[in-house]
Amino acid sequence: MITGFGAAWLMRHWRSRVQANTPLFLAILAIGLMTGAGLMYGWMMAAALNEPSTTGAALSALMWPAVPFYIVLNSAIELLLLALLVFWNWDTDWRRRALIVAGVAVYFVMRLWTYLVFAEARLDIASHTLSAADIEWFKQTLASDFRIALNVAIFAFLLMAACIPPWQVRDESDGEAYTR
Amino acid sequence: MSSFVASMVVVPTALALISLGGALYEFSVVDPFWPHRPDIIQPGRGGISRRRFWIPVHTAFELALLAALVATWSLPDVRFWLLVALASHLVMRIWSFMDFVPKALAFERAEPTSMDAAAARAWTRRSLLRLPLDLVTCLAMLSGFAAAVLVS
Repeated sequence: MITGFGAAWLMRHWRSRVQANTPLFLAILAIGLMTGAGLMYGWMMAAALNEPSTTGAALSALMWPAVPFYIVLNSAIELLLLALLVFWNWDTDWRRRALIVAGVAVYFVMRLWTYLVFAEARLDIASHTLSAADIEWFKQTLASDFRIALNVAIFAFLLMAACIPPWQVRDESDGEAYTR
Repeated sequence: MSSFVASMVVVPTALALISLGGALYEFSVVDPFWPHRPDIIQPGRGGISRRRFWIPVHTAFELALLAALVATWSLPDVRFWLLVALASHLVMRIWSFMDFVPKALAFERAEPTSMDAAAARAWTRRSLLRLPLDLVTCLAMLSGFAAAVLVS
């Protein structure tokens, strides 16, 4: 909220293409990193789970270190970046704004899904060596964990938004639109 | 033509960011732990398989980058950044191929009890030096993408 109000105040007093593009650039960077990390996590864990020799010890050793990695990335995105992104692009080209709002909406769906379904149980099993029941639960949730698809969708929305300049300004002299 | 240029550059840019995300994850989540627990990176012992991520991501990035270079060859502002990305990526790949990959494969096959933990830690420390090259590739791709959008 504070970030949003601050961003709205700045928006009234300072409006430029750099202002609109900077949070979009940073959001693309952050979501891209998260997509890469998510793909690596999903593919590596799926491969490990398919191995007949998989033991809980090897998998659980990797679960706890992944927690702070995602907490840092998601906190930065949730607390700061998304508010700046939306407020500083609110009066831009409607197609760009629509794509950004769609990306942010999908991001919050993904976060909600995480909090409701995955967060608590995965934090719990990350704090001890996985039992056979934990591995079975982890296998099942990994098979139905389509958050990476949402992540890719957010990434695509933001990249498409970046292809649209923030403002089209009409040049009175020759009647052609140009961007500033 | 203009949206075609942007769409040709956006794909390798996205793949470069995904690759950097994977590298950051590996450096911060996997590498600090596997020298003490080699079975983490030994697929034959129930560990993870890093090649399952890197082979498709690198292959897709390289093909997409080459296609983007062909499509934007007549645009010097875009071409320059794509060539920077290609150069830094090539340096990283050649270095990996000659130095890191053979040793990583040896670590993956080694008996956990007989593996030299000091050598493994040294590998992870040196592997961090590849991160700046990944960063250069990524930033060059983002600059190339920005240039492609500007000429659109």
